[in-house]
Amino acid sequence: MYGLYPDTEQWRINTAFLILFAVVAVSFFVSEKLKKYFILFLVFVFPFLGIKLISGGSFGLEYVESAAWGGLSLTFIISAFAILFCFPIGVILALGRRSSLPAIKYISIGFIELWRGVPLITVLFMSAVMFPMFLPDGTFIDKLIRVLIAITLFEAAYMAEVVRGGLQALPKGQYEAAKSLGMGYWRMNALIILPQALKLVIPGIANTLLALVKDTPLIFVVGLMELAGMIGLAKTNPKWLGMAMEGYVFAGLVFWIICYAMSRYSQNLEKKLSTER
Amino acid sequence: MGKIIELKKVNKWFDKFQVLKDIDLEVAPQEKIVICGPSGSGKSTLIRCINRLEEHQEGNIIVDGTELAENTKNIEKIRAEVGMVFQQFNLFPHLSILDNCTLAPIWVKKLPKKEAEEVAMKNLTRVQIDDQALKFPGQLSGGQQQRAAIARALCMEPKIMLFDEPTSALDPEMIKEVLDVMVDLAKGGMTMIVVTHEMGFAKEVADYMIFMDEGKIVERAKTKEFFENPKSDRTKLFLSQIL
Repeated sequence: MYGLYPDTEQWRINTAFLILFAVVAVSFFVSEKLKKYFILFLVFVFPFLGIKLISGGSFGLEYVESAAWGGLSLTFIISAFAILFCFPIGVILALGRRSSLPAIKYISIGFIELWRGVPLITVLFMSAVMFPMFLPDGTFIDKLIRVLIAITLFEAAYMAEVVRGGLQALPKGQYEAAKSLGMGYWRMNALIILPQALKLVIPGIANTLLALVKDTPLIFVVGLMELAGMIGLAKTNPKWLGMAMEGYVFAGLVFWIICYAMSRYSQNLEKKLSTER
Repeated sequence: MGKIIELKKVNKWFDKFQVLKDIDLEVAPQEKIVICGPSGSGKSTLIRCINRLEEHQEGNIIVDGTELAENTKNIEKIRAEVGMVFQQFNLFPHLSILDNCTLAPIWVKKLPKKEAEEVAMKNLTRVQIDDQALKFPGQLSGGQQQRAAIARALCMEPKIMLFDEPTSALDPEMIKEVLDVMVDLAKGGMTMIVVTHEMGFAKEVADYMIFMDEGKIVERAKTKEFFENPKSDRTKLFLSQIL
């Protein structure tokens, strides 16, 4: 659950996740209007609050370096951040790829094809080992952050292609109708095109995000231990000798629960948003 | 009377194929013009150039004193003043009929939501589907959808309405309900340019008829004269085939 996080400080992780669950739980019971603020809080405030709480270093909290983070909490942190950021970046890339401005279009294509064409392991190694070499002396970006950025950009490229599929499925008439009402590019996309396109590709988005969650164990290659990695470490502990099988089955079960919950959520979302065509 | 739309020597190509050839056209406020012609004659392209869903390559198009050119802000301003109704309705399927009608007034004209809804209900009543306001487009018949599309365009309070074959995708018994709305609109003094094959409608409301073939305006005449005494042989042939 906590990896190598110091035992005495584990309450901080607990608190962070408790706040998260409390906010989510409460948001189910409040009115639609208040719900908006809860969602805004969850997306824009909580991630930074949570990270501050866990990493510490101020407000009298002892600093815990990210190398000590691990276990299931790390799985959650990495998944949540990557999902949160890869989605908007993916949407922007998808729009960029269909832009009529050649510069934006080719930058988007280049970016997508580059990240899509490289294995995630390579990307992780690059971010963890190679990237710091290119930084000027004295600057330092935390390894976890580097890895997070790498995963986010990697998944954003996939997300972009999924979203582009939705954009292409929309009839041209929708663009023309929006334009004929005097809407500019941004309003047209925000109000007419994206709501429809994203709805169309919910299954594809869910697919990508599930794959993302299940890719998180790969971060063991750069020395970060999330749930599966932690079990790999624990099985070498004399106290747990011979329990490897149980550990991995447990990890598999936990991942299945997470992924199944996400998949159910996406199905519900699909149902909720469907309007007859 | 002044001119609200003015086209001067407009030429347009799709790749090498010339779709519009030296089009000159002037429309005065409150005039109703019906454009007819065989398919592929460029009539749809012509009205789509007027709100720049298509770009023209040569000549000038001036709408309500503003020239259509590269400037995006100008184009958006003109599009907000020019309503358009499409053959395929193109309602937004993810929004209710009411939201379809209020979306552009709220976001483009910055109308308060309540006011936009009042305007929308007024226009939906005018096209007689106010009782369907909270349904989604997929739940309506073709005729109702097209009337909703007309109401949506009217909610921007346009000075000009363009109709691109508004009844071509409809079942025969639904055509009349849409034409009735358009006749009502014409009598209310709207400037209208209509591409249609409904000659009965044309005879009833049009001030001028325009006949197009192969990208050119072949004949332009007062409605009565156009039907009773067409000048060009091509027009005669066309009329004999559809009447």
